[in-house]
Amino acid sequence: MLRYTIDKLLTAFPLLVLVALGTFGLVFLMPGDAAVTIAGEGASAAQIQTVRQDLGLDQPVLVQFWDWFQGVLVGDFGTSYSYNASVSYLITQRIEVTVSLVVVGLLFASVAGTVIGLFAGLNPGGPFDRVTTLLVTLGLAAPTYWIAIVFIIVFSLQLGWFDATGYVSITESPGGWLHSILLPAAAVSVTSIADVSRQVRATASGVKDLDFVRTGRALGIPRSGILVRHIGRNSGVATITIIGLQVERLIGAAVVIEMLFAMPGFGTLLVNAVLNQDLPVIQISVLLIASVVILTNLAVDISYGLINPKIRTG
Amino acid sequence: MVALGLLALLLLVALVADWIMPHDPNAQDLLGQNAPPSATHPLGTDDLGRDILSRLIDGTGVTLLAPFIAVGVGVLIGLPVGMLAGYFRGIFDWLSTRVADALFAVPGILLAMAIVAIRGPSTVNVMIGVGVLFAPRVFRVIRAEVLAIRQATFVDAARTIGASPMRILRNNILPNTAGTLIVQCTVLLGMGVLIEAALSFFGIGVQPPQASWGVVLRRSFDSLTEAPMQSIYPGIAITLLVLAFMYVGDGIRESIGKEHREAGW
Repeated sequence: MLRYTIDKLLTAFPLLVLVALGTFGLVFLMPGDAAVTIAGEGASAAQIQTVRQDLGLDQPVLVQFWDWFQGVLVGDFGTSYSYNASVSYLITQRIEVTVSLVVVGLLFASVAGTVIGLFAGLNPGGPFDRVTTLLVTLGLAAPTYWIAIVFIIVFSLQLGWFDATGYVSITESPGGWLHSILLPAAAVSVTSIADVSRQVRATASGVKDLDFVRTGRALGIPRSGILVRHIGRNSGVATITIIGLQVERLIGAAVVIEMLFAMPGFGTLLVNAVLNQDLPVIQISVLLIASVVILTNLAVDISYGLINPKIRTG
Repeated sequence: MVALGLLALLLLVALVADWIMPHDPNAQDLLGQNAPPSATHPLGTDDLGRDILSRLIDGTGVTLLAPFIAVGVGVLIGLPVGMLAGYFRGIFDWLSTRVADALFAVPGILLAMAIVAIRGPSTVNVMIGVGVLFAPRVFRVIRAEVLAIRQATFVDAARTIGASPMRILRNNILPNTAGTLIVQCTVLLGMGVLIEAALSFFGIGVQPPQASWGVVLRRSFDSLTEAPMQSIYPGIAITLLVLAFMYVGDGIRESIGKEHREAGW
């Protein structure tokens, strides 16, 4: 198991460096001279020269990358052009909203997705399966933020159960936090619930007819025991894989949904950064999110070994 | 077939848009803002008094064209790299697989946003950005397919008669990847529609006054409390278009006899 874990770690590390190199390289995609663009319109030659020296743009590329990467490793993320504040401050200030959305959304996606998929898969072609298959298809095809708009119309404007905007910090009031997060988290997770339940349905309907399930039944093991111990464990690898893939999707969706619900999260920061060509903020955001995704994949890979001993030796 | 019909119908609408629009899509009527559906405005008007049906018809062309640009760019990059990596293996394969993995770790919408940030917002820039994001997806399926095909007897036979690698790739391998490629493209076209809509929501996709369905949906959000129904039509239109791409893809998959694969949504 240790060897397997180390193996997986060794593949994740070069990937992180590659992503860092890629995000750093974004600066070279800027049209024309990056220093001119960053200094802004009407900047004098001396100002441009100052910017160039401040950013180290007169140094060789690899030296530039190394300076930047060293800073990133110790948490020095540079300074935002448009906010005039350190990028790490801007991000820590806003990260709570996005993390809340993604974590609650992931919880919804894994619980609802697994339950729906399992019950649909145990009885393929049944009425529950047909209804959920239709809903799953719709869930995959509809734009996330349109679903959010429909949720706002139904649950906020018509029924008045939730506020359409705003966010309450969990440190301020856990109850208020839950109330403010439920509707956006539900909207964020719709596509993921659909995706997870589709995968679980396919796996469960395949596993339920296998010999050991039939034998278990013949031996008189209660239905719930078979469900958890035999069908559940044997669908485990596929289920964890698909749930792991949702992290990337949920982060992407959260960025949109935050804007829609006027929540002060990562999304707002990022969109402003995009509109103002605020490169340090964009670079660190992309790097941070990609790292989270890569580390999730790493955790998923390692969990394979825990669930299925065949994988860790093979 | 229904899905194919819907796509054909939308294409027709896009082509004859100028003749079938009941109103000028950009004509503002500041006295008739957020009007409910009526005989003159079948789907009502938006917050500037513009006819929503006309704006949806006007936006059909961009909404259809944008995902095709993105998929075109994705295939242009992903197909050759995937074929070379799958056929020659070695260091090039290792490196391109790592790059694809790295691109996969960034949520699509973020990557597109980063490219817009650098190149400036415009429909073409955005769709090229989305295309770069599609490239690793095309790369993965093509590479996997080529890895399987290169072991086939007919490839061995071609090698035996002295065909050059380029000729084998072009004449023997490329035609055999076509089915997989087309199915993957329909999946990506659906994704492209959704990403274009999301980017338009931030105002960094299709630029006004040009309309796309995403732009119309974005606009309707500002009048959510006054006219909630306004948001429903563009959303339904987008969902139907994505469904149409999904079903066409499923249809092609079945007709070429490929077993069900993970669609990669």
